[in-house]
Amino acid sequence: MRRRLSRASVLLAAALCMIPAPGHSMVGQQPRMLELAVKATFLPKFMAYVAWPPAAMPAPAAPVQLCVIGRDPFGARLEQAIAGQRIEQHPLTLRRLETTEGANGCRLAFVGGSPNQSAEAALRALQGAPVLTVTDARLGPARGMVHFELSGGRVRFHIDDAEAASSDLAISSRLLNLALTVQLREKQR
Amino acid sequence: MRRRLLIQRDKYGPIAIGGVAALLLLAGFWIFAQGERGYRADRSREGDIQAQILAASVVAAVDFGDRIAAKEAVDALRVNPQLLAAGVYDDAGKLFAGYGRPGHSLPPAAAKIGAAPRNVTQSIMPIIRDRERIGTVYLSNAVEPLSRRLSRYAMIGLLLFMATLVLAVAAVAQAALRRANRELAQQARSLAEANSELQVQMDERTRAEEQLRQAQKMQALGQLTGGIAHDFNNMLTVIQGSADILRRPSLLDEKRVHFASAIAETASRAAALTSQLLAFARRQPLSPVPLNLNARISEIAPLLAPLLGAMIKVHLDLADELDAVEVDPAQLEAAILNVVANARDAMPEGGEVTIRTRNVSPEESGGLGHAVMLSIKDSGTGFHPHIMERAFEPFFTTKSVGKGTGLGLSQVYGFVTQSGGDIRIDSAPGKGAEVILLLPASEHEHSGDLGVPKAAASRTSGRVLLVEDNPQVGAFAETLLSELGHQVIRAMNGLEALKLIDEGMDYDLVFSDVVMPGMSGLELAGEIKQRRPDVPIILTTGYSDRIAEAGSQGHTIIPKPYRLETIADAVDRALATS
Repeated sequence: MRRRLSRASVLLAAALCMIPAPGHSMVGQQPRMLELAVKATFLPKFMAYVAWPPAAMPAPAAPVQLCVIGRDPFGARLEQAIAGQRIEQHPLTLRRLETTEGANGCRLAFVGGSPNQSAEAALRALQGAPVLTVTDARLGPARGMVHFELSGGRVRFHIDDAEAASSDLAISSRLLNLALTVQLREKQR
Repeated sequence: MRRRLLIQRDKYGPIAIGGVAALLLLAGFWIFAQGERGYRADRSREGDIQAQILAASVVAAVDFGDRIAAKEAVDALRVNPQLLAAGVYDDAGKLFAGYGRPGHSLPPAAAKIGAAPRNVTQSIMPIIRDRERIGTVYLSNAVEPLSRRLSRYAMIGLLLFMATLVLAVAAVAQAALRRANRELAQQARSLAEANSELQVQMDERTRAEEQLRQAQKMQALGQLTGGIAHDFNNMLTVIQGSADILRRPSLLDEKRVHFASAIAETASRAAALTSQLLAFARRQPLSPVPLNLNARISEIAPLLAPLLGAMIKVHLDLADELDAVEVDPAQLEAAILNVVANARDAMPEGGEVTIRTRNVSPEESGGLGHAVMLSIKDSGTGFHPHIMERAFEPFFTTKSVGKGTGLGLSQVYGFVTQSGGDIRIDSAPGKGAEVILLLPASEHEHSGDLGVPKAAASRTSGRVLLVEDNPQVGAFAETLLSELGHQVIRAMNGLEALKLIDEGMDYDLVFSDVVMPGMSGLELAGEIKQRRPDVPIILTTGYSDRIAEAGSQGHTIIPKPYRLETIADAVDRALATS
């Protein structure tokens, strides 16, 4: 576990170090690869700062599903990022789905959109379900609860806490602190 | 017991105070040490809590590699001035975010965190996400400087110091008091010792003085009795021997007269000696008569030449128109002879004796009123002052045993003071001595002649009632009176005499002893005066307290030993006046 953590950290550090300064070429292949690696690393990490309704969580030893719905820009990098990661006591499993069909067990869903189901549609379909939705500005304007965006040469994210609240999810303030913007939930407005 | 307790408390007082002071100091140091340790622990705990808070707040930042967020979280701690350095390290131990105040650099890596330096507490906390350590937080907190902490303890320290000081002062005071008490007790003890020592010495001195007085008395008595015995034995030898020779049958008339005269002369000397003894005791029956000193001295002067010898000249300096004095002529004569004898003894090589008289005014006489001075001055060795002081003491003599009785000047002193006068000695060693007698001047004119008794001009005879308890003296007196031609009726005592008188016995004169058992001669005289006031009474005595004190009460007194002529004269006078 320590080794895996170590490896992930090394990867993260490498990714952060390698993110070029703004104005530098972000169009090259290498930076793009790194950006994807960082995002892939972030995805399982988000799950550590989110509390689902107890009913939504499986039995202790049962795995928790991290899903990629539609386009998958990460490829094998996501497998690497997830490898050995646990959410509390639960092991993490990766599922790739074409649409929101059969996404009931997903607790985090990266919504890339697909010809069969646009990102917006997928998000609508998941609305109210206990799923933390993640979208990427590179893939379109559709915004999930967490929305990746490159800012200042770094991978940053927006958080829509109001949307999370409607799905009965609680996002840790620690994570909210790191967000570029936070769409506050009703109570906090 | 109480005193003992006090002493014990005294003894342990300073130790107890010292103990309390030491306890106070110990307590103070303990409080200080406890405070210090507690303070360090508190600072350490505070640092740990801050580190925990920081660790919790930077979990996500470290997790997502957000240095800015981590830096913000760390920078929020800058407001705490005690925080010297704060660092966030990632799971590889590399510095992720942090700051250090000037002079306090951050360890570049978690592994490089060393031991805390002095006055600094370090807190190291893991950053944990889901029970996984994803990094480390490091905080370095300044411990308040010792001086500032000490200033916080200053009040306690001051109180402690004051308390200790008070105790110390109390201890010193008590020690001083104890010492003072000890010294006082010591002084009291030595004072008491000195006092008892003094008491003992006083007692011893009193005892010694008493013994000395007793010894002096015994010595004086020894001296006196020795002197008297010596003189009397000499005189008795003459009397005894003469009497023995007189008893021989075939003795020539010439020799018989010679030895009888020797007896009479010696008896006179013995009588003079007893008279001197009485004079020193001032118990002599004085018969003062007004007389002129000049006349008496002129009479005595021829007698002085044989007494003084050829080497000493007598010079008379007698005042004209000298006042009369009232003294006993016999005692006056004895006094002059005594002083002159002393003068002679003071001039073994010869010299001059000056006898001077003059009137003394009341201003000069020192309280005696008009007085007459009789001065006898010699050119002899003089008196030492210490001898002069004792010159009038009875038995005091500078002469060897047998040469003087020590009664000479005592007789003079006794005679002069009994006569109401005063006596002085003016002398210095080598300058001769002047004995000055001051006698009160008499109002009466002096009689022409009261000299030696003379035989009565006309002998008469009468019936004499003789009262005498002593058989020998009585028989002797009866013989004397019978020799004189009187008819004698003997009575052994006063009562017997009164009985004879009351029985109607006829008599012309009473001749009675004074000191007798039962009724004294004076009492008898009183009784007879009541019955027969016209009958003359002659009293005779060797010595009588009553007469020495009260005088003769108008009766004729004949001192014992008496002589034939004395009795003849007195009886003739008495019978002539009746």
